[in-house]
Amino acid sequence: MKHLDEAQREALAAGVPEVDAATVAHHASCPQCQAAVRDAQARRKLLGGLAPYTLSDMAFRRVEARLMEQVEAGLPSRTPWLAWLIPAGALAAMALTLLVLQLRAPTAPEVVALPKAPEKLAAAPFHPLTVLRATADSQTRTGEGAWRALSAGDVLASGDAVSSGGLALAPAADVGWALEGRGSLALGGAATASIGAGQLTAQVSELLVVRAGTRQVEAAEALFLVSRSAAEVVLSVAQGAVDVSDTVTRERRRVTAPATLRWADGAPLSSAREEALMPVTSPFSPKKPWARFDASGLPAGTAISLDGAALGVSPLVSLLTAGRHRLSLTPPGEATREAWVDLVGGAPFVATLPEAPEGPAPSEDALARVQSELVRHRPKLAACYEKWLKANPSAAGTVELSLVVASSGKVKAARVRGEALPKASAECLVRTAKGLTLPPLGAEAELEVPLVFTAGGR
Amino acid sequence: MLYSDGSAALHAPAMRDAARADVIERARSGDAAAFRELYAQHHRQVARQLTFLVPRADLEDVLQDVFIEVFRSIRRFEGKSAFTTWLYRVTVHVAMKARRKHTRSRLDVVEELPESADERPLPVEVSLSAERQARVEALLEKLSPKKRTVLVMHDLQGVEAQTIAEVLDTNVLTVRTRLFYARRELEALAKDDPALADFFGGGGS
Repeated sequence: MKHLDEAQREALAAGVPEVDAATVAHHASCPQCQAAVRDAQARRKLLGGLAPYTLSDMAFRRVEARLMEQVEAGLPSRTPWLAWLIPAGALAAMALTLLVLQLRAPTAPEVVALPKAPEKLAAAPFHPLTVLRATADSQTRTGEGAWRALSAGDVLASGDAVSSGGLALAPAADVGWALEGRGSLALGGAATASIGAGQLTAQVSELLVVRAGTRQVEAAEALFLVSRSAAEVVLSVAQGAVDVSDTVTRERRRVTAPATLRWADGAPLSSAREEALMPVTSPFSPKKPWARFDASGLPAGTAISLDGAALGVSPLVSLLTAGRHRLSLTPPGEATREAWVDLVGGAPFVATLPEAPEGPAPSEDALARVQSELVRHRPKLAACYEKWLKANPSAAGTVELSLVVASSGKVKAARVRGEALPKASAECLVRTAKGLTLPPLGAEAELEVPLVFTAGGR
Repeated sequence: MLYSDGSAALHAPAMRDAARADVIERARSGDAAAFRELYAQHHRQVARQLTFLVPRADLEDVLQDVFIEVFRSIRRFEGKSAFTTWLYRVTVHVAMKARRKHTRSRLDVVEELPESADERPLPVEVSLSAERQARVEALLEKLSPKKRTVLVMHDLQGVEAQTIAEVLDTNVLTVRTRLFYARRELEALAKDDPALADFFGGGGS
């Protein structure tokens, strides 16, 4: 009889009851087919163990915002060079015109053209903004709709108004803006952002227009702050240059860093008072991909720092750059706890307070009990050594196994250090160690266990 | 079938729901609001269908690419098949064409370290179940797009070979051949992986 075919092997691997007798008989007598069925069973087990996953609501909203932005702006052509033909043609025509003008009027009269107030400011593009961080009092509404709470991960669209004690914003798509603001702000409309009362700090590498009363600030490459309060507008430019215009008189002037100017509301642009430089700090702008870091469950007032930089105080929710970070948490009146955390792009991460590492030192008796328990598990550890021996028959040496043991005796983390120890053996040791439950030590402890591997027993 | 992704909807009769048909019709005429509704109705289903077809880190970008493609080509949707069938076809084709976009790590476990340690933990500290999932996902990424698509659709999403052939514009024999080679390749890759070899009885202690 021929060997079992794919369907028969899969049926046997799946344990389908209606497999015919001939198939069963062949399987029983054919080691090759038995091996193939075992492989199929292992593969099915492997694939069956996969946990399905999906995107977070935040990621879905981000995609929606980016899509709608593209749909409303008109999708780029699949052959983008076609789109360049027309502008390229226009540029060529312009160059030609300039050339002709220059030829005809080589000595132009000494008239300096004043910059005109641009008419199309209102058409400045607005990009959906992702809320990176917002204080608990932050709210938003669309048009005249009801106010709703605003939190990190929410996406703001054109027409949204915001009221907040402090929030950080970044465009959902790759646009060179980073914004931080407080007070009442409106997005889109006549300018990209309008300040009712409050302030906005912006770092931009693409055009952003901010309006405060009759002052309109345009910047394409700058770090600046605009604040509006008590019928006064303050503009501070820390880097680059911004263009300020008056929406009523159409006056216009350029302000170059470093400068701080103050106007009474409605006063002419030329009446600005120069002030002592106001410090402007760059807005909070973690790089993408972002993960939602939720520290609202920590004890109130817990100081949070990430990679050594202060992040704030709980309750706090913030979007942060995905990746591995060193998290430090200091609850009020308690010692600092530290841990490595892996933030996954698009996924939420809920911070919890690790158990306090301090505690009474484990007693000698407890340590002795742990030692004898480890000795009891020697065969399992030796099996990992055998993997090493397989790769190198003369393998021997000392390996340091570091264990973090919870007060219950459960091994929470394990790490091995040993020169020349192959990956398979290291993984085997870590896996084995993490499966151990040792006699309770009464406190969390870090144990260094030297393992001496010698092939003498073989 | 190891888990169902609800692709039974593939066989649903064409658009009974008049409101949904209206949304599609409006989207075909370029109505942005209708397109937003289409996204609202189908984004979760498309994300589920993309699971394991593309690397986890690329899921968000590829989901966006699928809907951009839907917007570009919805004029060509003539209602001959159910919209969900057409959408599934677009999803699978975009997934097959998607290039690897990210190279970042996809560890999704939290490891606590003793306070004294200043270095980052060794990768071997990742917990086994999360590690196993990540390894298997990495192996799926090693398969060619054609093989991976057939394997994921058939063995993970429970789609019949005949339907896969229709979605991929090919014949059942080709689907079965790709499935055969995809399974053998995955088994061989898993056997070579120290963290997975135990499943095949190769690396056990």
